[in-house]
Amino acid sequence: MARYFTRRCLWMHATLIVLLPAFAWLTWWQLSRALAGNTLSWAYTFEWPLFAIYAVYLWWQLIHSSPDARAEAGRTASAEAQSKAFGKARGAPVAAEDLPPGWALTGGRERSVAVAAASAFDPKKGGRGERYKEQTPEEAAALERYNRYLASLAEADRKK
Amino acid sequence: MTGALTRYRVMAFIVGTALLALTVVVIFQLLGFHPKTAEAIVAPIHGYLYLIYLITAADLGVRARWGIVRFLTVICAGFVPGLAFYIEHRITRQMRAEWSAEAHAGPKGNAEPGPAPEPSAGETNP
Repeated sequence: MARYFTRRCLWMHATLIVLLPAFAWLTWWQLSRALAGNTLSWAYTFEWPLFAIYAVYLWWQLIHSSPDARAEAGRTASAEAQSKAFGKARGAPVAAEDLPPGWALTGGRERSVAVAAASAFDPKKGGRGERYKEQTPEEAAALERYNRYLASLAEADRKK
Repeated sequence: MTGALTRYRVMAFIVGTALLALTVVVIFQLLGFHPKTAEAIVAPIHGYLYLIYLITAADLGVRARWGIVRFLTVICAGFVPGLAFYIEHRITRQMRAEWSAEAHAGPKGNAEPGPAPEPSAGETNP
């Protein structure tokens, strides 16, 4: 219940409370003009109630959507898209939790960066410089998986 | 979703044009001429086209989860002469940018970003 009494929702309730009587009055005004002989007013007599329905519809939609829900829906959609894209590169569908570490990195960046990362990988060093000196075998394997993934992305890009 | 954007864009163009026609009629009236038939045709046509425009805008806005400000801007663009063309252009740009950002953004809390690539190395690639 509290979700309908946020600052944002209260503004929308207030707007609707002002708009509906205003639209009702405009309908009545156009109807009286139409009955007085102004044929053009008939068009508006039926239009104002439709505007009122539209206002109620938008009010209903907006009180049930919040900026947070909007961002959340975007994230869910992009996670699904990423896991689908990865599965396609591997030739088989991949669940989101089975994606290799770092798979999301390529998402926000240009493919050319991914190509650079894949080519910079040196298995003897276990990565680039000091940073990967103390990595565990699991980490090294994960890094290698990740880089193979980047390479497959780059390869798919080149084939396009 | 791109279909909804196209429908909105088509209606924005039609309503923008109809509103310019209506503006010309109103200017004639203010100058003292009274083109009765023109007014009787152009005004209700714009009125009902505007209604269709609102429906296409709501369809797009609900799908893309627009905020209140964007809805209000689009609603106003239908009855302020000339504004429809500019707002349509801006909405198209915004929607394309947001859709491509959503398609590229990682999920919430991707704590393990992997090795950081050299930004300069990336730029050398075509």
